Amino acid sequence: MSKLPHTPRDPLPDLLSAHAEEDRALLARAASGDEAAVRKLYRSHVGKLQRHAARILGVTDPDVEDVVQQAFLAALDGAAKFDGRSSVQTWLFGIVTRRALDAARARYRRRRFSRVWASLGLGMGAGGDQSPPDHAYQAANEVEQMLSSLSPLQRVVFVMHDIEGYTFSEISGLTDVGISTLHGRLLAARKCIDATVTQHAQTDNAARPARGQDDA
Amino acid sequence: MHRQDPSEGLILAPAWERVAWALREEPQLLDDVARARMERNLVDAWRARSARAVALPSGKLQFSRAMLIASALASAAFGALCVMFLPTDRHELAANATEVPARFDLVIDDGSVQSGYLTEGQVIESGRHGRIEVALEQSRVDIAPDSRVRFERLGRSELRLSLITGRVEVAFHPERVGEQHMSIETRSARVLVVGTQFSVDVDGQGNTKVSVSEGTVQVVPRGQGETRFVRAHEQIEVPIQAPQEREREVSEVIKSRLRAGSDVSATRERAGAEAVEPEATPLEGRVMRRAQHTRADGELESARGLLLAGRHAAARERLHRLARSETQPTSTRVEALVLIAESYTSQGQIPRAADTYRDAVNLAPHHPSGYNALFALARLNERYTDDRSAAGVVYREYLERAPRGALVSQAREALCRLGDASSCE
Repeated sequence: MSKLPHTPRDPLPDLLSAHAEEDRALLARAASGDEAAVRKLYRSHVGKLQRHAARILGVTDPDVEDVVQQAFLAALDGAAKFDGRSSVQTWLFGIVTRRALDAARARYRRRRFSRVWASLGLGMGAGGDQSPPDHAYQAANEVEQMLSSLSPLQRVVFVMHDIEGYTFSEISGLTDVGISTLHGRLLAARKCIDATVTQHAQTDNAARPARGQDDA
Repeated sequence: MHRQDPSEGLILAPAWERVAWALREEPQLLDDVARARMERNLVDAWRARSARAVALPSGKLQFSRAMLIASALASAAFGALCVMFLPTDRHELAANATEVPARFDLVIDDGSVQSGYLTEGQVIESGRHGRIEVALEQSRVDIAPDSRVRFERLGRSELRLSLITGRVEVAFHPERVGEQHMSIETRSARVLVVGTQFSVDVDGQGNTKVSVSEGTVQVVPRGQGETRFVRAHEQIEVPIQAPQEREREVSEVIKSRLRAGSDVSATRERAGAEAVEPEATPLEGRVMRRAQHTRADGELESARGLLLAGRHAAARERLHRLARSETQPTSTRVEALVLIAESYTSQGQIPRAADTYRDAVNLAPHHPSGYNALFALARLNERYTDDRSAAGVVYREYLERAPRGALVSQAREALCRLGDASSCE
């Protein structure tokens, strides 16, 4: 009997750890113009933030780095607004999330518009668009491909709730989206992933006998 | 919510839960090179913002219109007094500032793909199809394709460049003739400028050619030879003096490598230099059609430019096109695949990079470029994955395929490092 671990990571230790206190001190020093503090703050968070932005925008998306950098600059500019109710990491996650979400939504809208445009027989897609549903999101592997089937907000709530372990109220505070909306989007995201996985499994099963014949 | 797999009798978590678990276990994407590059970009942007904030303080003081007018009048009056009575020379003030802002634009196919500011000691390379335009306060330097220049000194009273190879065209028009100097150093000569327009060419051996279109320049040969003045519409050639110059060249390469630091392009260049294997079949190059070579080189070069500009997706798209084209020479297609792999590596996509290196190996299994790709794949396994045995297997594969290759000793060292005692000497 094997069972996959499925408990989301608890963010509470982050909030309570000594690191949180150190981060606050670093942020204050960085805001006052201390370059060493800027570098240290950046080094301790950039990995997680970059991965988070990549999950929302797509691993190979060229805007990922830009989103992370702009988020850091915004954080340094607005350090005075940091009220200390959450950890610095959570606060930075919020800034990255909002910026990545804006970028993903803008693309999503553009893509929808181009589909409508193509359906009218106009634009670049007029010749019959064979591209995948979210061609703006370039997945690095099959697991990430599952994320590409989600809308931007579904992706954000799935990543933050089911992967990063944030609560609905925290996500709501970070994204300015109501809790009930987030809840609905999360259920839709999970259903969508289940459906995609099932579809993939069926495709694989259909391909398996054919491979067997080849081998034979 | 958990369901049982009828075929294996296992309790399966729902698909979304397995996807979430897999994503939670995913390693961080950033490698050290990308991390360092991003950090440098952030710090540069932050410094620039801080500088602007100092110049334009964003205080919340509310001025009334009368106060604003009064302060403007007071400033104007003070300025006028300064101009009339103070003996200070504005040129002197300017000359005291330390560094001249040197803005550069890297231009490929008539479009600027990268721009920024140069600092003292920085080396820039234009690439085969790139051109770099550098705008300084009283001068302009155009760096031709295939050139490499170091900006040694960017002072207000002295501008000094080292032209390592290639060609630069210079327009230097100082406000105060005699007080501001510009010089261009090459391996065979030193070109001193007073105020003029001219070009300097350095060929592969280091021979220098100076052509003057306006004004006069002074050319000082580095070895034996007299100082000459070259006037408008004249040109002079200064040949290199072999042994001493060769030593300088070697030290130049070593210095530039040491300076390269954590820069992505420099790392790529360094990695490329390490992996370069001498052509085992030099005749093959002659057989290839030259025109095709030139076009392919152009494509590779512009893709390199895009990579340098951080536009990885666009560069990879171009390179994939090149790699798929069966009309291109195999070595070009392999090079395109290697660049794609390097791009993936710099973005932390190690499995994709490994697959692409393997594609390159499969494309040219018996060609030096394929051997290089194999070595690069082994190094990727060694540096970016914890799978030491996989790295060892690939290094051994390299040794089997290229027993007399230039990277044999490095492959053996790596095997020794990975615990294969028989490879240690």
